[in-house]
Amino acid sequence: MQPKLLLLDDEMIARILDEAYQLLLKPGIKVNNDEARDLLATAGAQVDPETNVVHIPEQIVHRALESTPREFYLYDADGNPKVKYGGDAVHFDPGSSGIAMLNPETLEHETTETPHLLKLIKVAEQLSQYDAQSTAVVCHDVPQTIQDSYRLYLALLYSKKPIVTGAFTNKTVVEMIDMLALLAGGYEAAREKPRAIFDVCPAPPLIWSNFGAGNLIALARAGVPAEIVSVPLSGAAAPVTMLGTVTQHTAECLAGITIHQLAKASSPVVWGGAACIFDMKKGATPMGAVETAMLDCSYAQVAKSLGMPTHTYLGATDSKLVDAQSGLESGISAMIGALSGINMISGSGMLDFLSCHSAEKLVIDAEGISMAKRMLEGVQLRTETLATEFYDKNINFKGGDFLKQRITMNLFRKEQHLPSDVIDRASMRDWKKAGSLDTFERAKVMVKALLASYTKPALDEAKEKALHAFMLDLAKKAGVDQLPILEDLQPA
Amino acid sequence: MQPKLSLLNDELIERIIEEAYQLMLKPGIKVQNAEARQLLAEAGAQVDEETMIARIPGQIVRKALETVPSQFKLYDYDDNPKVQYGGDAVQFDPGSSGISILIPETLEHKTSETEDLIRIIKVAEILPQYDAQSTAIVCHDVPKELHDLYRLYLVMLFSKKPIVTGAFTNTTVHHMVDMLAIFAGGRDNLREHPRAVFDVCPSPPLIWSNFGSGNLMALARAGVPAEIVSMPLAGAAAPVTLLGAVTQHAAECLSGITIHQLAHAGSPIVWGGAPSTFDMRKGGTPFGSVETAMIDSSYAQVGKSLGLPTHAYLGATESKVLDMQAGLESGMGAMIGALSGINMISGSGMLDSLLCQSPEKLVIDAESIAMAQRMVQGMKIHTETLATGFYEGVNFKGGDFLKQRITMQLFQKEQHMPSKVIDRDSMRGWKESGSMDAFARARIRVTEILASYQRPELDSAKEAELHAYVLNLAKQAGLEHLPMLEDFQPV
Repeated sequence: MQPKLLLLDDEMIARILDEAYQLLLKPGIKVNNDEARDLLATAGAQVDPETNVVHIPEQIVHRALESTPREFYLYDADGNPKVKYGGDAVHFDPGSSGIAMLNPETLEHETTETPHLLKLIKVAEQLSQYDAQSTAVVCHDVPQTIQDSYRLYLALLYSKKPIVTGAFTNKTVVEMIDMLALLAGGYEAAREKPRAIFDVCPAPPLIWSNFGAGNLIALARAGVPAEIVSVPLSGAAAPVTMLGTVTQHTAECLAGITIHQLAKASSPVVWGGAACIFDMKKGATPMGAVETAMLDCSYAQVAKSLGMPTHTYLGATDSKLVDAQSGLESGISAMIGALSGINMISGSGMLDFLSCHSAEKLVIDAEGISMAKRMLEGVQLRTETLATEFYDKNINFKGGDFLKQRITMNLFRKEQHLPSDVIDRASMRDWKKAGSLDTFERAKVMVKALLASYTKPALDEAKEKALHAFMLDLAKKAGVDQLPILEDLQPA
Repeated sequence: MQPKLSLLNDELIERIIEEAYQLMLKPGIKVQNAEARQLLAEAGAQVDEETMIARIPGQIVRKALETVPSQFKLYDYDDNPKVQYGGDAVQFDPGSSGISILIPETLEHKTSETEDLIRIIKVAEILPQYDAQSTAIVCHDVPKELHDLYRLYLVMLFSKKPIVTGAFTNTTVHHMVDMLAIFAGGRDNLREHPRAVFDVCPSPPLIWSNFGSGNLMALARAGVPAEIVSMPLAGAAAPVTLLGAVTQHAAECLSGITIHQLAHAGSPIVWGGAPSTFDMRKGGTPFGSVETAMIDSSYAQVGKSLGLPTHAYLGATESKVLDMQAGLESGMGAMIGALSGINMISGSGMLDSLLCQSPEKLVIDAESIAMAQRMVQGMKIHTETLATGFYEGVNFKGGDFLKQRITMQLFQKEQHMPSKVIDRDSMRGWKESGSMDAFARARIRVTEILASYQRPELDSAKEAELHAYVLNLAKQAGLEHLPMLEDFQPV
């Protein structure tokens, strides 16, 4: 049995949904996209053309919920289903909002460029704990207008895993879908076996921007999965109470799903978010706070009550370094996310309120993820009797008796997750002999080893060329003649 | 509603208990204390005096379970009830098996002495996250015969909180009960309002040593709470499976409770432990592993199904320093323990598989504990409507809610405000305050706490009596003077 954390009872979930439906009517949802307002108006919503505020009646939302798929998969480059959205499946991917990366030698948070993202992709590619890649950091060495598509381009070239990504404009979302279709072998193939999912954010409180709503519509029509990342900020851009915040989150998701399904019914969409409390003392958004994790756990319960696939942002820290705070915030929140049965948990690797990535932290977070996944496997029944059969005639009330049993050697790997060398379980003597390294130092060693062992996946040469030509064309339109030179890639 | 983690369903719990009952018959329990064997034999167990193995029939155990209190409290020096054993109350205390302390300047694990224990007591006294003190480390500057009771002596002099302690012999457990009785004003008062609980360990697999069972009986008769700390080591001193380890744990606890209740029915006792998986590669006992936490969560469910108070060892790490692993393992362990509704969670402050204490780690662990305690409080209803009442005057602007009076009224109820050990600063603010990591911030906080600490004012007559009592024992152990203590001039 998969252990589950529940923070809300059924009655509370019903109240949250009820009040979210009320919010959709009053104050309503501000929809800053003409086409989305038209879709809503045609479906029967009352639209104020002056304020862009739409009052959405419950029955439109109900209809949208009925047509939304309960589950779907993301596929790897070879067309294998790898990520299951729906039910209580739990997956992790690196956080994807980074604009900086920790330099492990200087501890500076460097503005990110192409080599930074490649490093993250290579590390995440080889860690089995990451079920998907993310377009983890912005590459500031390319023009702003291609920063979103360029991230996807790199992930497509250097990884075979499914990808959590996102577009920054209504124009680029179409281009990024084109890129996915190029590799998939057409738009229908991209729809049938989607490789990537696109994060789409409403703006709190209760606003669907032109760009957010536009992305929802484009993705729905392409049949490429959309992931709503609602970001209510308790006490600033959402009610101060956690229940109020969850209710606003619900309203933003319901409104988004409605726009999405009105554009194209039955396209896949995920109930996700990056909810957060607001720290009044520092004016900060503590992603590592336990209250943030509690918001996520709660809204996931609301989603599950509607049968929706789920996503959240957890496993990150507010620390600037890979230190004890980093460990406790990332570990605790990864565990809470997993126990909440959330389908995709983004955030690993991130420091400093989701602004800075770290390859070293990715490697350590992978151990927190392994622990969380081991927890989800639960307590397993592996023998006919639970215990009595272990006490054969050789058991003689001695401490090490069980070490001699063959079953011990047969089963210990099934029962125990064996951590990587990043986790220290050595004796004091052996630890000193190995150089008295702390976790960060060990992670640096492991990152170096992973970068050395990485090989770029072999992709279809023609498709790779076509992808490169497509990207180069976007770059030229953005005013640069060449893309940054990439190792292991010699485009013709 | 208090959120709860459940790893076992009712059927599995029943099977565990049933097989534990079977283990008590075959292979039976090795009881190395003659008096305990006699108690068991008189109650109807079949005892082999040669092998010391007692085969304990289910009905004796069930009778013992009927008389065990389902709850009791520990009291502070001023006689206020502070720790609730029973139900799903969750409390934390520092780990108490340390033989060394982390020196923050050199990062050495120094053999611990009096001054080190006092430092730990002071830090734990001031941090509200620690509901009880523990006799956290051995003081190697006093003779071995005094190690257990001398720890208790120091805690009694420097703290007012309830105490998780333990004796190392069948003689010293009596001395320690005497010491507690001095402060309580007699043994009757101590029984009524116990200040301390005593850890008592069976030896895996399925052994109650002379000392372990002797302690159980002494504590039962004194009416001072006992806490069974069963330590099945999955794959070495217990079955390799988590369920097998939980079953052995149940058998060791059930037999311990039986001995305890046979000595004195109705005395308080706790279903506790410090189990661990066994790391086959390193030969280590990873108390920070998730499987260890899963064994704890599972046996707590078994204990709760029998209506017993619970204890576990969680919140510790294998790491040797205060690094990311220390945070990861300690934080996750504390959270799982809290979600399991375990009454007393020991282990905070400990590095290197429960060998080394660190006041700096106590300070950082306190933040994880605060997070776990916030989680245990669950989602709370503060307002009449959940959300709709908040949107009056809200005009689709990001900061709208900051201006609401209710935001200022409620945010401190909703959010735990961490200490300065947790960094929530901007990059600029963080750099301006010295670009410190959590360990560096913890060192500052420890220094601040030590500076602000004041030894509690205790009844000077009782203090003098306690000192005379311990000094007398010290003299018997060949020590003319006890180590000098600051702020304490014994008459």
